[in-house]
Amino acid sequence: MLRKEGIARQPIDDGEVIDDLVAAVEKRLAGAELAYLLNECCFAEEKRLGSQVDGKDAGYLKQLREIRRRLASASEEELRADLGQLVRIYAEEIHGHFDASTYESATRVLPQGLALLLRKQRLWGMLSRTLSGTLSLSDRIRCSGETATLDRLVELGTCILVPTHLSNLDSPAIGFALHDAGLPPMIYGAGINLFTNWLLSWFMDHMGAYRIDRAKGHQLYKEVLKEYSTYSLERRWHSLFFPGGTRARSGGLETRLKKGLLATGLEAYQRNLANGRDKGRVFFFPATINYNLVLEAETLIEDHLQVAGRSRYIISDDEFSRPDKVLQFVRNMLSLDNPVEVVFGQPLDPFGNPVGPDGLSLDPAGRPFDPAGYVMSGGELVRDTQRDRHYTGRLAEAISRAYRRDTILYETHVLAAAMHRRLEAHHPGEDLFRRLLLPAQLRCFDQREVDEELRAMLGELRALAARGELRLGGQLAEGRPEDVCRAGVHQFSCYHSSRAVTQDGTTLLMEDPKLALFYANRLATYPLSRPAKAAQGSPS
Amino acid sequence: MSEQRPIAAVLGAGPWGASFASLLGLQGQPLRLWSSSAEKVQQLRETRRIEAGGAELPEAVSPVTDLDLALEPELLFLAVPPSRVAALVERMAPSLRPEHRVVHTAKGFAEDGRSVSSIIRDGSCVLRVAALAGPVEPADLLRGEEAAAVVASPFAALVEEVQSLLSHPRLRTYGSLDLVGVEVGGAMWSPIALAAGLIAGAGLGRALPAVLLTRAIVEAGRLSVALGGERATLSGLAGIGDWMRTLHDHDDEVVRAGMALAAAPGHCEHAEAAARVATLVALAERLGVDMPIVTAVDAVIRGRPLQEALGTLMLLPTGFEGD
Repeated sequence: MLRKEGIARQPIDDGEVIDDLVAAVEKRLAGAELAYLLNECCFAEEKRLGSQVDGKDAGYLKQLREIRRRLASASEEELRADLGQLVRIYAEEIHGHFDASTYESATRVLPQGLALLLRKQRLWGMLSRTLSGTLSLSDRIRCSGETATLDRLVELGTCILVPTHLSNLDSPAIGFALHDAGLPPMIYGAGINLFTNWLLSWFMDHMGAYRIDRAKGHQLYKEVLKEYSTYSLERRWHSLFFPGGTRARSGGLETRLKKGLLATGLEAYQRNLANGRDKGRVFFFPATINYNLVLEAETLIEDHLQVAGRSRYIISDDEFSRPDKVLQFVRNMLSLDNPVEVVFGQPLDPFGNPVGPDGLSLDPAGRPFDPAGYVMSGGELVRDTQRDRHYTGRLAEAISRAYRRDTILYETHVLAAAMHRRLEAHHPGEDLFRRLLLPAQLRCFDQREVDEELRAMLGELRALAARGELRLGGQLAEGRPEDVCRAGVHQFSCYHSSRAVTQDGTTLLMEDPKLALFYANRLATYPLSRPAKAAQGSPS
Repeated sequence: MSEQRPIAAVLGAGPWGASFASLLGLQGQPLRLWSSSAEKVQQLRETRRIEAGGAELPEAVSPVTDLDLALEPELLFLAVPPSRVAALVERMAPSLRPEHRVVHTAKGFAEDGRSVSSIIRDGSCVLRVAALAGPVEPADLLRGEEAAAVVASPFAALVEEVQSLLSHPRLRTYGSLDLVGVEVGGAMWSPIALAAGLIAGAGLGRALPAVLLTRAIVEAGRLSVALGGERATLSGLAGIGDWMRTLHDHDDEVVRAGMALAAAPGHCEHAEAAARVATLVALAERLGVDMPIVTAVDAVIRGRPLQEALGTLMLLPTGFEGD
């Protein structure tokens, strides 16, 4: 049953949205040097499109060239008209077309589709569970944490989910988690490259996704995008941002968050205050999406390790673009012992303070207060962009801390890290890139040595978990090192084309050290001791 | 007639706080001066005289003991030593509001190594914090001397607000966005003052004060960078500016303690300054920052003979000057 909140609260008039957006962007850019802004836009877009363009883009390119040609002599009024035209193009491109009935149908069909996948594998077991009514995606995509608070706060203001981002499956996974928890749909920005498949594109478009074209790096496009986000939040459309900006290529936790979209939360809050809007508060919910295996791990780590790859912001040829790989991954995910776990953290206000269940901000001692005073003085709203940058920076730090606290580590992460730590211990003088190139015989370790490393790591990780500084999944909380090792090796055998770690008798081999690095990097932000020195004569 | 709305409050009516309130009060703008001591407030109300230099307390300044009354204005000046900040913030916190902007004047870090601005932010809902520092003693200004100060905060509007309030014919107030660097400059003041006393007390060479200051800039710069601040700030009013004023101020009680320490290592008469040095050493160790001057002063406080500590300093390997 669709919860009539956020974007689902009332039907949306797309024409009205576009008109509002164009007006808002024009207002936002009232004092800007329009000629410079338009010139930068035209130059960047012409360069991006090149000379070979298809029918639709040909018209757009012609329009850009015309605007640029008359820039030098254009009056202020003409510049504003040109600006309005371009803003309208971008606003129409960005705006999604949420449709409540499509959302309802899709959320009904999706679990059944996935159940079909399962049936191929374990027909009788599944059938019996289906008949008994227990087969549910809820078994595979679990959510925990502050769901009850989120449930309350969607009624009291605008909620923004800000999860970690490792996979293109994150959006559907969190979308399902929200639906399953009886929460309203959220709009979210999705890379325009994900809209290339017409069927997927149609569904995403009608289920709350709006388009982000990262290839358009010019200021005008960014302003339209920020305005779209601010406008959505003002209309109390609950939203989802990935503040890491893109999937974490290294596999590590995001520590440097993009502040552009985060800042739109504070902007919307201030506009709500200025307009005296009811339920004008804005709440950020950090969330972690935790997998023991990641669909696109192989491609992501390759990109991370290649200097050229670091600037390759949009990946259109990874595992997500291959339906067979996605299908295989989902099937494996559904059959593995560990589900995808989504942890909703404590909500934050736009200034980085924690928020209580009644929507009031909390000071460090847990005393509730109204945060409006951060932007108001003597009852008047005071606008100050320099001040707001600091507030958003503080929010980003608070989100990063929540990520560390609410991340769940699995056997795959810890085993991969243990193998890399042993490799480092045996080759202390070598840098990471050299270690990755070592021959297979130097990447083999005796089971006892790995168990010892795991024992030491588990001790420290469990101490951190006891202090609430991270979470341990699978057997990490209580299992013996050998159990953790066995589970990790088994999980690594389940999906990827190569195996991060394999076992042959009492010898463990880091078969694909890059893939192992992807999983090991999940531990990089936690303060672990240096690995023990290697005994002479090893590795085996 | 109703009382005019106060523009600010000064919390702490010691010699520094009372003089500072007097200085602000001379502009004629109403403000409150808070002290926890009812006796002191009563005395200030009756005599309208402050302890430091016996200057007059302007009519615009209202001494109060009621903390809620003191916290009515949005702009607060915290004029208490670092060791007392945490307790005061804890007491104020239930009445603090997000509108509040807090400017502190404390020179030093708390015992646990936190800066005063961190204590304020960690202990209350206040986010906009600034530090006021530099070679400025309000009592000197009241006596007619000229001086300069720096106010630092990452919030530019707060810096401008304080600059505007401190606009005075004998005081130039500069602004900075490097709160960390300014707080590090203040934290270095105690070891510098003690070291100045040690040099004067032992009658060491004329070059040493210059060496002390120039190397202290580098040392403090390292700490500043490690904490997220800037190196260059230490070459300004909150760093070398403040330290130079102290270098030859033999009336200063910390410098005098340093002079006495030269003759009797292990017996520092100024316990708070000694504690600030120890805090700085512990912080530097924790962050892996090399601070040989501070460490040497700490060693003398703990009983090491001055010549021995100086000898160790002189024998350290030298590198490039800015490193």
